[in-house]
Amino acid sequence: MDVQIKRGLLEVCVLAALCGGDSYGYQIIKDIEPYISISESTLYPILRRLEEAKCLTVYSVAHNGRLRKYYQLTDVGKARLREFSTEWDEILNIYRFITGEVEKIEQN
Amino acid sequence: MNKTEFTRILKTKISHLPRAERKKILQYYNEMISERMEDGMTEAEAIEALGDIDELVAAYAPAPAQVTQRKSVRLRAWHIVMLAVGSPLWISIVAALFCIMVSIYIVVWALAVAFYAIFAALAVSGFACIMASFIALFSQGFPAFAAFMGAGCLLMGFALLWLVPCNLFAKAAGKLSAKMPKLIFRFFFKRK
Repeated sequence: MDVQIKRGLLEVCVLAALCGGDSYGYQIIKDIEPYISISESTLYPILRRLEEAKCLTVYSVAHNGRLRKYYQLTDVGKARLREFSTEWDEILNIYRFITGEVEKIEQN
Repeated sequence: MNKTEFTRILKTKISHLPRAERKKILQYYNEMISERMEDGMTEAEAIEALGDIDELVAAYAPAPAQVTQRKSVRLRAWHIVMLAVGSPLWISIVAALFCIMVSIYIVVWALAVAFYAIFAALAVSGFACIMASFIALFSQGFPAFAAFMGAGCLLMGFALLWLVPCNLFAKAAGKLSAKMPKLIFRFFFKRK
């Protein structure tokens, strides 16, 4: 997948992974793995960006003698997800436009 | 590679980042390694799954606008001229600061020595009184013995009590001596 497109999608994917409830880094990776591959090193800056954008909050929970960081979706994060869902029509339009143009190349 | 080795390498590669950021990154990776190990991987497998450390670090370097690396100082011609012209001023300032630092050191350690001297004076006079008390017992009788012995014990007692703040002060002076060069270094060569 194109790197730029993937970058845009990954942030929303991470937020989506939190819709079902608070989660932690490794679990988020496992949850979105079937749809889009993401490594730990890619996830970290995304989580930091989302935290700075106040789309999620972080808290620590004791687990097996260590601390595990949990991420929680905020209202801003939820709004961002809804915005993405409504943008889908626009994205589809663009997709149709592009594939339509590509067909012209194939035909020529 | 084990966790300690991985953490050590990662630390050196992110040393240009601010401390808070470095701590978060290290915590994150430690957590990820632990998670993978709980999932069944060995420590080595978990670390290998993280991928190449250089690629890992490349993912993090924040946008150039946020990271100000220490600029390499290149001595240009005009820098040298400025240094030479201003030398009477900056040399004397540096010398003065150095003298101040040395005098602080001297004062602090002189105080420490003085405190120990007080301890020694109390202890020695206490000991001398106790010795004298036995001599007094034979030459001047019991009251003199009691007086000297009492004074001697009092002095020894004070000496022992005095030793406590004495040692505390010496310890603090030692810590200050160790920290001073570090503080000065950090003050003049601040990491941006």
